[in-house]
Amino acid sequence: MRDKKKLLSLMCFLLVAGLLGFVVIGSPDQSSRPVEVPFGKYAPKQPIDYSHKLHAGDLQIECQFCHTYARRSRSAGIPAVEQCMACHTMISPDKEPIAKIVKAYDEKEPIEWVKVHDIPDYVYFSHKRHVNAGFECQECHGPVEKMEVLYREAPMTMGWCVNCHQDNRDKGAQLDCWTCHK
Amino acid sequence: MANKIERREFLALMGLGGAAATVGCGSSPKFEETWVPWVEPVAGTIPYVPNYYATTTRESEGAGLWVKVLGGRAVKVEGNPDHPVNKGTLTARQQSVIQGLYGTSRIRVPFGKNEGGMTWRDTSAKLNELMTANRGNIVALTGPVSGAEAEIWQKFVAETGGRHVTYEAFCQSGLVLASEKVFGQQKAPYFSLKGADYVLSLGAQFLESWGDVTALSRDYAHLRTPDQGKRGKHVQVEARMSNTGANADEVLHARPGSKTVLALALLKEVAAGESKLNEADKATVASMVANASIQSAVGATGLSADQIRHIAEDLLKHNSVVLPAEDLELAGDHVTHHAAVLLLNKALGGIGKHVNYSAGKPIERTSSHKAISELVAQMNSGGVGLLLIHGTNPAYSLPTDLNFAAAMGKTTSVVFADSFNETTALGSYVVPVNHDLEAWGEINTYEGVDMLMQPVMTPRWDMRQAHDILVEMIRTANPEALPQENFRDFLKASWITRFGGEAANPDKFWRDSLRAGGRFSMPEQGEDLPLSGNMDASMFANVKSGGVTGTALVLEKSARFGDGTTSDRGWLQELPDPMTGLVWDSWLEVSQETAAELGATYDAGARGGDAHLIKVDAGGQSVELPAFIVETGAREQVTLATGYGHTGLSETYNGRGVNAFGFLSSKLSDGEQFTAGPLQANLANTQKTYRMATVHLPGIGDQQVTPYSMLEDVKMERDLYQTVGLASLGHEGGHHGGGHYETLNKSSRFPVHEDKDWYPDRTDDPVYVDRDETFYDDYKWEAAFDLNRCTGCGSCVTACYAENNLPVVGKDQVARGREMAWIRINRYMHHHKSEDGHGKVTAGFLPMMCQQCANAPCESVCPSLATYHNAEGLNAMVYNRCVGTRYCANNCSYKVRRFNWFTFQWEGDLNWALNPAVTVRQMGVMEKCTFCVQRIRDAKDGARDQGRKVRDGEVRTACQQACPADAIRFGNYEDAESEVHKWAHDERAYRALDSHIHTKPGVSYLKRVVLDGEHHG
Repeated sequence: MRDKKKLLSLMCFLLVAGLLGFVVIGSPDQSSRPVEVPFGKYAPKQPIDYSHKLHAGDLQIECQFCHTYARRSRSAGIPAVEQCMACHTMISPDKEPIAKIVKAYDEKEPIEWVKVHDIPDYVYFSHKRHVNAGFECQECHGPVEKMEVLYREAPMTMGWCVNCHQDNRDKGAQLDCWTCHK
Repeated sequence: MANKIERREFLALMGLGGAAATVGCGSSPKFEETWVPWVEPVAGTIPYVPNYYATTTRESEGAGLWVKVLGGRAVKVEGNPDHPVNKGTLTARQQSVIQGLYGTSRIRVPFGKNEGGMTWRDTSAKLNELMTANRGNIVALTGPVSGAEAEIWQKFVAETGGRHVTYEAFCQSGLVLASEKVFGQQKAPYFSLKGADYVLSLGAQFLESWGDVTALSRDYAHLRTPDQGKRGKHVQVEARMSNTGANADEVLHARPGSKTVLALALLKEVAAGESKLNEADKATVASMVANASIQSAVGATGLSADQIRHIAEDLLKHNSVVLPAEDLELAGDHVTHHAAVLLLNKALGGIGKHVNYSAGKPIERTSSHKAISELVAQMNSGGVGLLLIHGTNPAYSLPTDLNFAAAMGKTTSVVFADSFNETTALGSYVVPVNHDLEAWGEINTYEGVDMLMQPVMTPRWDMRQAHDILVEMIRTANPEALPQENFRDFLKASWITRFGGEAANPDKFWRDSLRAGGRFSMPEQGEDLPLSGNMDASMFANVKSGGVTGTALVLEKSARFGDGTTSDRGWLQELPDPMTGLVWDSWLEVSQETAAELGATYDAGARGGDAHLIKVDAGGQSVELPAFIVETGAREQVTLATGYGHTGLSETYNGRGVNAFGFLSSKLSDGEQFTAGPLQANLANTQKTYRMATVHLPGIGDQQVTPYSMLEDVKMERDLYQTVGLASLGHEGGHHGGGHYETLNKSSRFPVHEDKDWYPDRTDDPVYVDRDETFYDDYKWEAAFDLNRCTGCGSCVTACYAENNLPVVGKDQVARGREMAWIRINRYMHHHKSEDGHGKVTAGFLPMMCQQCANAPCESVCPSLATYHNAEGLNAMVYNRCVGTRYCANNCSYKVRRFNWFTFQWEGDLNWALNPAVTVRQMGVMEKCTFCVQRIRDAKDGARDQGRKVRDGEVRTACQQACPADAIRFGNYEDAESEVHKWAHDERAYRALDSHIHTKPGVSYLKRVVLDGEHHG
């Protein structure tokens, strides 16, 4: 009786795992398929429908091409409107939503992006330290190059930070409270 | 019966009560934050990476500044290390410039008295109309100006047919005129203590408000530093004890108004002795001082003949400097007094070395009060068509009997100002202009100190640069007059013409000058000038003592507020006066004897103290002032500081105290200065009381002896503040007071408490276990404070407010002991019995901040583990972990933890100056000094980029950076070569209270070196 139940649950598990495996590994042309915003993940509506999938995924633009400060500052920085215009002066300036950017640039009106990844004011976090230690952006930000709509992949909680710091002590990660708290 | 309560159990129990109270309010708040990136990035700016701009401001008295700018906003003002005078340090007053920029008194729109608010277009038109209508009858009234600013004003008056008048409350015309008489130099010399080993100050409060305090404090610190069993000596001549006097080795209590008589007697003695004068000069001086005598000096000062003779001998024996009396203290004899002091320095060989005319301030950069007197007379007679005022506030600081307000009523005036003040309240038109941190300009102080002022940020409001408006008016008057369209171009052209003649690339020269903050080529040494041939031989013939019988009112230039321009700064209002600890108010300093005569008392309570209001009648004015009784006071003198009693600032700062300038007389002295005193004062106790707030309170426990602890049972004799006799240095018996400190013995285990039933056994606690040699990683951060150098000025306190986002809490909260200063200056009074049986009081200052104890009493009582000792030797405080039990503060042996009773708000735009690297604390959170951990973090960040350790001197705490006396060291104790390690092993080093309670502090103090027979502690 008990064995039967065990067998049944094992078979069910294998079936589900196999299906999942097909979906994840076997699906063709995965780079062009966007990941949907998973249930419960934070994905605020942005003033401009910007696609990371298009820029970072399909066009293969390096993250730090736009987020220029990541290796130099605590903040990776959201690119200035001017930076968008570097390409979009030539590339479809009349098409929505790019036209909005052109308008903002012409009127010198900054664009208010909604923060997706936000840490509290009492936390010190430095992009520079993490980038220079050799971490990939995706390790914290998730598969951004596949996101049509940017969402927050990691919980950005203290436990999540501490776990990673614990695993990376050899890279110089510290566990002192004041590493992050200020 | 007692049970062990573990930390977590305790929290759980506490939490149960808390949970019960908050049932039903479950949902967490949601909020969206937005990013607003630049439209066009500003070249060279990176978010969170500060840019520093070198500049200077009028308010900082021409000190060189480095302004830290983050994200386009100025956030902190630091000293320019290349500046020859302040060399990277700043006084508290100079640091407060940033609060002026964001202050609540800023004017936002132009307005006219009758028109109300005006547009810029209307303002421009109005100004040009006024200028055209009044051509030939225009007066420009400014503070002292120099360089390109002087040129543009000259151009303005030349083109519009007017004249230029300069005014400042504390002018140096007496000194300039004396210099002209004695040496034929139309300059104010640069006083320097460099290399001196004897300073006689006839009253100059040179560690507070007289001269260039930063440079004087720095050289004074060197003078005090013992070298091979010797150090310099400082003698202060003053009736009461000022902060400067508290630092002196000897205070000679001379009656107010007797300084000139004393100076002449000394001059006579010195000139007759082995002075540096040649024979001819000796004869000249001797004939000039024929009337002076030690006897007359004894009569005037109340000192003994031996004392005076002794000073004269000491002066001759050493490399001496004589500093004059405060101008406010001289009755009508400014020139005579300064001439006598200059001659004294000449006789002592100090001209060139200590009184440097090569680095002097030319007369054009100074002002005299004669000009403003004449101007007010002219205004009263209706003789001024249009008055333009910029960079000065005469309505506040002019003598009452000059009646400037009435004169303003008879004149059409335009006031250019960045903030509201008493003068803007009288102006017909008020034009808001850029604050100095938003403006172009030039300030030249001494010869060879030519500073550029550049905007460090975009103007906060829709304002214009005052000089741009001038350029516009000049071009309206005469389109050919100026090739430049704005003042920046004018300044650049003028700067390059004057200084960049040989520069191959003028543009590069200009940029380099801007980057450096100006052009610094101040000569360190001058010539020993010969005496002027045509000195007035009868100059000293009629010198008399001030002639006040009974009690004299003496005005004192406030170190914090000066002429009142910095009175609207929360940091300065909350910076305690070094000697009395008073904040937010003005007071009449009275001696214990005077208080007893008046029946005045001070009733120190839990919420401030009640002082008796005293009616002061002096110089035709009558005011009521709270009497603050000090044991360092003089029976002959009551003292009132400047800077209070404003009426034209923003609400918070108006009506605080009494304006001391009200006691000035419009009668000009021989030095063309308004005179103040000493004034015959009639005092009467009104029997009304007034609440005062002081940080020096008995019972708080940070003072050994306070002004109110005359009672035997209140005295708390501890050895927080220690001194050492000069002669005992370098010997076995060099350690006095608190006992020998064994340098941190890290192999000793932590004491295990005997009462194991109640206290948990911490020997296996992960936080406490193995706290021996291996406990510290690469760094153990420590600080060291040299009490021998510390003057108690309070510059470090303000630096800490600026760096660490400390809130200003106001008078009422301070009175309740809730000030938030992380570093404070403790003042200790010591009573000695002198040989003749008379009591003598000396004061000492000790900066007190979190000692970062290795065995901290606060850590073990924290139920939430918000505070703990980290592996770098810091007593870390995690603000968002704090639940506000305040156990730590109760258990702190040094009273350095501060509790946020409220979520304090920043007035106006003052939150723009917050440091983003430091959390802004909220209600219910404990906070304290953390050795500027954000600066440590930044230094480690930079070092890791280069794959190395932090070098010694790379981390400088905010207090260390600002300290004019260079009394603070900070660094890695693990590094035996570091400065802090060396200081911690100095023979004078001790750690506060460690010998008593074994807290193992991470802060060392170096004992103050006193001349023998005076040490205590």
